[in-house]
Amino acid sequence: MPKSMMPSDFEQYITVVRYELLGYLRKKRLWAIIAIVFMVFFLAFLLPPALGHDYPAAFRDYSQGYLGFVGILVLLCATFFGSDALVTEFQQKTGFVVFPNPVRRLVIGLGKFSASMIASVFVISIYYGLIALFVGGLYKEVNVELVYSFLIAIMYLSAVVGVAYFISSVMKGTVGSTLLTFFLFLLILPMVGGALMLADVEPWFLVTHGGDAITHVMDPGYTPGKECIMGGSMCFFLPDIYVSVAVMAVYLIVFLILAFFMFNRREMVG
Amino acid sequence: MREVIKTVGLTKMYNGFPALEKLTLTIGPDVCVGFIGPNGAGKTTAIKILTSLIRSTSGEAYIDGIDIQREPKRALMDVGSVVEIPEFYPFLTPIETLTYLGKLRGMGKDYLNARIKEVLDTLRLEEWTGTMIGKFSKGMKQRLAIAQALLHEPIVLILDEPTSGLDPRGMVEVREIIQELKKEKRTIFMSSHLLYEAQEVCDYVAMVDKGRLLYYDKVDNIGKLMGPRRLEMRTAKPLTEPQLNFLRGCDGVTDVELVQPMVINMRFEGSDEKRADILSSIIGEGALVVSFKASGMELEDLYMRMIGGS
Repeated sequence: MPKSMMPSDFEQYITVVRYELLGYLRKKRLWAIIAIVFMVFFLAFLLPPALGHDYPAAFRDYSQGYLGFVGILVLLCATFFGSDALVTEFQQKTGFVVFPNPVRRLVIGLGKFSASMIASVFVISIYYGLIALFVGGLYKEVNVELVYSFLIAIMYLSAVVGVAYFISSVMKGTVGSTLLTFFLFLLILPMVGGALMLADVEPWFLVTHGGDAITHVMDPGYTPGKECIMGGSMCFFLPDIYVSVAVMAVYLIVFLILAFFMFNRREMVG
Repeated sequence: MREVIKTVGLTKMYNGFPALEKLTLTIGPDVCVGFIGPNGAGKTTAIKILTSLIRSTSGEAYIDGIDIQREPKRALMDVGSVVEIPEFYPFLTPIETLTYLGKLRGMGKDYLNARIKEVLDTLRLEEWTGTMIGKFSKGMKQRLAIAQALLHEPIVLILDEPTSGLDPRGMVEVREIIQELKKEKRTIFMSSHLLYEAQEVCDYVAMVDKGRLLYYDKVDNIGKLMGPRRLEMRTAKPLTEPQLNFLRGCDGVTDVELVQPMVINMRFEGSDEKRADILSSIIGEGALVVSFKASGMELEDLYMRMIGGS
């Protein structure tokens, strides 16, 4: 009977991914977020006729409204699947069982991140799949911009999950890590972006600013740059899509490297 | 001699405070070493370094010649460990948990399945194989922790207070498991608060306090170091004065003390044969001896001498 053989990093990585995904299923997080997706979809589908309104005449108008929720959905995915992924090993003391095994922490970290991304991309895909089915039936057209929007959403998701992992690698507790991730992207960064715009500075370097590209890409006449309303008394900046994607890539790489560095350095004390 | 576990000047500082100070220890193959000391002595710190949970501030640690801090994956391949009272993923069952850990260790499928059954049976968890660990008590988790440490039949076992959290029956069972493992030629390094446990189970004892190693030798050698042993004799009737005087005159006996009318404590130095002679002689003098045994433990005496006052 074959006994133990030193497994490769890749074999261990696959094992970690599989068991992390099993955890998402068992903890019901995945089901909860899928339920939210369907709830939002049906509200967007049922509410206009229920309130006596017609659907927007153009496919793009409907899609843009519907896609406005993607930013929140990305944040929910990062919070549900990423914000406590690393810190839980320390706070819940599961690291005492996992870390003394012959497996690199980088492999554990990468496995967890991949599982977070797989679960999150699955959720986002359902959301986009539903709109593609619905608008395909209603408007008889599905534009390629929806695919672009989906790709930008995945890029944005990667960046946000990367930041969530970094927060998870440095925070002491799961609650703090979860709350900080959620409010950072829901309130703090958008408020910083708003304040910068008031000071006439384009917050191109904020990933939340770039996240708006998910809906802007649906508009073929979209022009990035400064736009003023109310007779010029209120101005804001529309993100450049290419710059936004580049910023997301930088966030992903930088924060993920920092997260894994911290995870690797962190000691199992207490 | 093969050095299965070796530490050289192992030091760990926390905010300038030495949790472990220049620990140098070499453990050979197929022995059980008890690592004892009071709370905060540095036992768990040393074990955490040996299991790659923390890094040392200075010094080196090796498992079978492999530097644990430079090559943890290779060094830990043949190590099973229980550190503190570990927690498990609550959403997994014992079988899923052991499968996960076995796969991380590269165990073959058939071997893994067979071992899972064996260790769960050994640790009396066979009735709970399909229950989520989130519903487990502290003692059950500790048993599962020992099960995962034994899963891959490691050559080296590093156990941090393995009987902690167990009920008396569980403690006895774990001690029996360790005794069995000793017969299977494994190297066991276990910390314990329980001196009785260490003296009963271990071949060697390493004593630490305030991060420093105070004593490291065979358990059998403690008696020689400690000098006269305490003996306690219980009788069915109080000893007469001539019987007490006879006892006082026996070779190797000092400090005969009547603790209660039928309980006598004495100090004795000498071989087991000499001790047996004293017993038969006092019976020959008409004493109705109910029991005649060592009182207290040599290790306890040593501990109190080295650490008790600190």
